[in-house]
Amino acid sequence: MSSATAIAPNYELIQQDGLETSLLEVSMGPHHPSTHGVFRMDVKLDGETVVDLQPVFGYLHRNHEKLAENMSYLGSMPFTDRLDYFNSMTNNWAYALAAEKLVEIEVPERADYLRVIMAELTRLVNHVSLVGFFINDLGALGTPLLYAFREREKILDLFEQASGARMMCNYFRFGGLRNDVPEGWLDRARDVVDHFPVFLDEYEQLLCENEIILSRTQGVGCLSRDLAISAGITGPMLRASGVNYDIRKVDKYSIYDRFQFRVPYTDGNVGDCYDRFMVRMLEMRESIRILKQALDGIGDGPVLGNAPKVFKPKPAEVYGRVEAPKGELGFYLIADGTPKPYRYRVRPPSLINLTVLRDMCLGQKVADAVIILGSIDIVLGEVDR
Amino acid sequence: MSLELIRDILVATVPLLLIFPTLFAFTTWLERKALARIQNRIGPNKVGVPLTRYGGRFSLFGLGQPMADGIKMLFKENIVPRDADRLFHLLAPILALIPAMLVLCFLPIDFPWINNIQDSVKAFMLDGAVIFFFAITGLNTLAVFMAGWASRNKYSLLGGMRAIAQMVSYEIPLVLSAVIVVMMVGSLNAAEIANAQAGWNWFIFTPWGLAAFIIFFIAALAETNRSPFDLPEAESEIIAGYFTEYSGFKFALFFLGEYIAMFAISGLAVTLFLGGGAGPGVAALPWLSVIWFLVKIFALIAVMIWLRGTLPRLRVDQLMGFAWKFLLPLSILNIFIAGSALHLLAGGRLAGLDEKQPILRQLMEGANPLVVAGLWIGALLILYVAANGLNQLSRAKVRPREYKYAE
Amino acid sequence: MSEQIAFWILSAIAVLGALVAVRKRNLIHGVFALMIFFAALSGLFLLLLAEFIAAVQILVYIGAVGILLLFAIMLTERVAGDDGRRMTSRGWFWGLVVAAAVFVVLLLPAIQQWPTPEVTQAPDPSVEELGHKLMNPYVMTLEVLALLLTAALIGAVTAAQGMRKPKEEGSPE
Repeated sequence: MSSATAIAPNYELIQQDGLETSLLEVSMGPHHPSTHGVFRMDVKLDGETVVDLQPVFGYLHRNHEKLAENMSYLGSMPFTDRLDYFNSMTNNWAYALAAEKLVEIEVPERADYLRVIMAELTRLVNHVSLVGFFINDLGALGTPLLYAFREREKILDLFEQASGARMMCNYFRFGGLRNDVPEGWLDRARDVVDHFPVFLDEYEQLLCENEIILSRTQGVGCLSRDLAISAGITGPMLRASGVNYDIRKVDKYSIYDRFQFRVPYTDGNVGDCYDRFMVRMLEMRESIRILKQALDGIGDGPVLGNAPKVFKPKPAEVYGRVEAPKGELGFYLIADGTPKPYRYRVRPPSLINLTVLRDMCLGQKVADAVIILGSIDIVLGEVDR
Repeated sequence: MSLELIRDILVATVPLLLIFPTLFAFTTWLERKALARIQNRIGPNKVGVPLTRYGGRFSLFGLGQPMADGIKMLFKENIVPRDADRLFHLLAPILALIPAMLVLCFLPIDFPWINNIQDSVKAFMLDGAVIFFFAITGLNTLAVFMAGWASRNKYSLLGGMRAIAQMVSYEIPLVLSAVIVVMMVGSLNAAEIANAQAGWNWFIFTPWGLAAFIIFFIAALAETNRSPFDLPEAESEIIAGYFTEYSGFKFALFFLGEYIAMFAISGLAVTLFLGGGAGPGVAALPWLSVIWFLVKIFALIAVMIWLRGTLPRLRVDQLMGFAWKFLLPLSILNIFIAGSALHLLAGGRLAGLDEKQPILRQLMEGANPLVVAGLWIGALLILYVAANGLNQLSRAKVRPREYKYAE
Repeated sequence: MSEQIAFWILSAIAVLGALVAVRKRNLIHGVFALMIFFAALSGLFLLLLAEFIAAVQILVYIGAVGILLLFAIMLTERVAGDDGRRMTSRGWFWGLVVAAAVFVVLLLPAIQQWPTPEVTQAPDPSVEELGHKLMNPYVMTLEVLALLLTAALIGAVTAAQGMRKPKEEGSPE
């Protein structure tokens, strides 16, 4: 007699009488080279096949939300940098957007343009290094990663010139930006943006058709359209599963309705790691399109609107969200008339995208679990907050 | 036991124990430097002459780095996990190094000093040298298993199991591709195999030899755990595989063993397919053959480094499938092709040929150039078609996908 | 003289290895001791100039049988090895008798002039001769053996396939 336990669509664990094999329980992390920070996966393995996986997080919990409820609205702006420390600009933006809804502040046009430029540069930084890390998880010894970092450095230089910091930019303010970009910055940005496609061509040529990458990523970690929608997945991961949903198009926040750009998504047939990788590659091209238009269309003017000196909104509940490189980043604020928010809540795309990790990994090999985690694109600063 | 015998044994072995570890140090520097250039970095460039005050001033492209690394490794703390099997934990790195060192003596390198010693201490003159080579290389799996099991670490155990499965599987195509050479020479003696390729008569310049060399090199990569087959030590999956729990000098021994194994297997590839010490100028200056041998070894190692810098890693099931469903049938087919060619060329004249000479070589030289050209095209065509077919068969079925854009 | 020394050293290693392999409670240690025994045996073959047998001894016994044993132990429940159960079984007496009998039978030809078949011609243990013998008079035997082993291989693959069959894609979960 034998009993079969179905654990995944095409894999079942068979325990025959007298031939029971014990499962190997491995605790991958929190100091594992490829968990992208302090994250732990409690994995049960049958040989090399994952039969159970439990993500464990919270190692990097910093009490972000409660801290923000005990300080002024603007005071927590620098802390949003530390959420997803790769993309501080979009974090700032989402928070600024929520706060601007509380007190109606007009954002000057030049500030809006610069916000778009910063956000799209951030998207390039995020996607290019994600692809590097992803190939690194595949075992490529960091060669693609280092080339990705070369491009990232150029963009981080731009961030440093504008805001004074490379990663923790703290550049956005309610009603605009902290300061204008320095002299000649736009030309330098134009230069970086013009040269980026050259690198992207090379990257695509080397990676997208690579036999090993194809065989490692295709058909691995499939996420169905239905599961993606019901789990609340957002961002490139959702689009790779075949849903055309981009907050830049849906909300048309800021001035995104002025730009010509397309949203790449798949037909939802597979939704595997390769799709997630390709959607990000294609998205970078569209970001470059937006950047070119924004750099051409930007005019002169102030960069900070008439924000009140003391930020003391009337009681209200608002939700501000942007299309961060990892998905929908939202800030939910409840104001009670004091200078501090009554409730401050972050909707972190990394955490919510991570919830389907178990469903994607079951029945795959342990090596696949690593690249599936890599393809989700998480930053632990945002998952744990 | 005569003193002469002891002297001869020492003369035959001690230089090997000095030369190859020195080359190992140089190779680590080469690998780090080459990988750095591949990855758009500079690599080690600071350490010059260690332990002197000139170290910083004459950096010599960082050539002092291997020595600095070695000193660092020596003084590192030796950490043994509490639950580990202390004896096996200690023995594993030693056992990893011994077979790697041992097989070096089966490489027919004509060092000038070994001409004066008696033949009985030259291991490569053994009639079964090639078999011995494979037998002793296989011992490496034991060391790997020992390390993986003794560490009492789950990653180590996974790495050890992976390593054994991989090495056992890839040994078969490795041996089967060496069979081609044995068929052509009619001997397992390493020196005879090398001598049969004197001048430019390298076995890689025959269709089956070329195919066998490619199979051999791929299998050798897997056998020495090099990228893209470095699964037993896959950093992104199982930390460092079987040597996760090793530190200090034990780790250095593993490292040394791995590189010596690389030298050994490259040396065998050079012996079997790349003409051993043959090369221009050897006839006039016999010691050049040593240089040529080492140059060829380093050429192969350079390819290994290059692959390491460029390729991602395979998955376990793909790795095993590649060995059993692709390399193995292909190498068997290759043997058939070589045998058929031998039969075709000989046409019943086998009896008249000198048995001590490489038979196939004699036949190839005596044959009509048109026939030889036909053999080349035919053999490579069959192998190409077979490889393509096997690739199609073992390729995973993937549903079609399409990328769309929404305005 | 040097052969004598080598013989005694190798024999001592072999006997010690065999003893440890039998007595060791830790299974993995036992297997490794067994491999030391195999290695010493291979050395003894080398002393007899039977280099091919020596190589095959390493290749087959250490490389294949040893690994097989290790895998078999890994599949059993007591992976750690330390087994507290009694090493001696109830049949130890008969085991001792059989061992003694085998030992005596092996020893007899050595201590008295047992009528052994006359060696007419010194055997040539070279690899070349071995190859010729395998390819000429014994080629049928070799082929039959090869066929048998292939059948065993296919049988093993089939047996392994039957145990764990992945469901076809698209079939209902």
